[in-house]
Amino acid sequence: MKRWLMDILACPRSDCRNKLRLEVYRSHNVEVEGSSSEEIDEALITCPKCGRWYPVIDGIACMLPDDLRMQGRQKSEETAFLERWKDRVPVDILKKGIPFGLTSQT
Amino acid sequence: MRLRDLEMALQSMERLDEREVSLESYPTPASIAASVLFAAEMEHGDIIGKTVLDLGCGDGIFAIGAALLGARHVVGIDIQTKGLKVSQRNSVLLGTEGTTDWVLGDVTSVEVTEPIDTVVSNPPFGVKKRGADLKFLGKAVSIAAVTYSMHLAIEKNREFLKGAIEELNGEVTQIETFQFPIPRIYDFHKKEMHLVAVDLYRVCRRA
Repeated sequence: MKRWLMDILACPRSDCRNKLRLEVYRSHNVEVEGSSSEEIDEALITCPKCGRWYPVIDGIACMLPDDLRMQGRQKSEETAFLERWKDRVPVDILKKGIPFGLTSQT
Repeated sequence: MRLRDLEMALQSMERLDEREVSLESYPTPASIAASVLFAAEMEHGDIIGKTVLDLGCGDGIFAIGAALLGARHVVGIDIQTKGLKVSQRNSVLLGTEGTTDWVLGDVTSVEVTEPIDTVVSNPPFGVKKRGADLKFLGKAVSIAAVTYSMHLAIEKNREFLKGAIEELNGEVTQIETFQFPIPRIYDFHKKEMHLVAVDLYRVCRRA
């Protein structure tokens, strides 16, 4: 994932559509035709308006609607993301993130 | 880049296993993807230097083709991680990593910060799940100045789509018919491989 994605995509909630914020946790540089560019592997995307968070996992921005994140494998992958980066994810997201955090699951 | 070079590059891509394809999506053949993109640039200048979104990108063939032709930024969106992983690998293989990005998302809930130049899409055809392709088209026309979208070439479907596009405040500027070789993916398919006529629509959003 690249930083410019945040200039293109907005929050996928139809009643929100706000510009998103990005905090990069891990990235690497790729060389394409002699020029170097940053490829983001893991990052946290947040919406300052509706308060939702979206993970970037293995270079793919996961921006699914709530209902598709709340179940099955997606829920466990996104939960594992929070677990993996719990030292860097803001406490309010860990505690009561929208649509879920780390403590809200059991 | 010449058409032949684009076609050859796209032919070297890893394709999604057809038997794993769900949601009634049919992978776009490399030759068709190449000629659609090439014509989009040659006839309308819709690719080079543009921001291009591929809605329902599958293995990324349209997105990567657009990047190879010289799009500025390309974003492929799909609801299945499997296709996105293949897209990532294809992008590395063809050296388009710097200009492509892959997003796990529901096409109907994609929102953009400002209007996109060009959308390319080969949506689910909506044979069994009617209207699936119209949902994609509706989203495309609402976020992009120009949309290229593929739909089953059936007379009834054409009438229906024309009316629907009118309602979406879009204008069909071009329809071109391609023959899609479609392998037997679903139980309701009778033959091992058959040709299906598919219409490519170019739709401009009315100002």
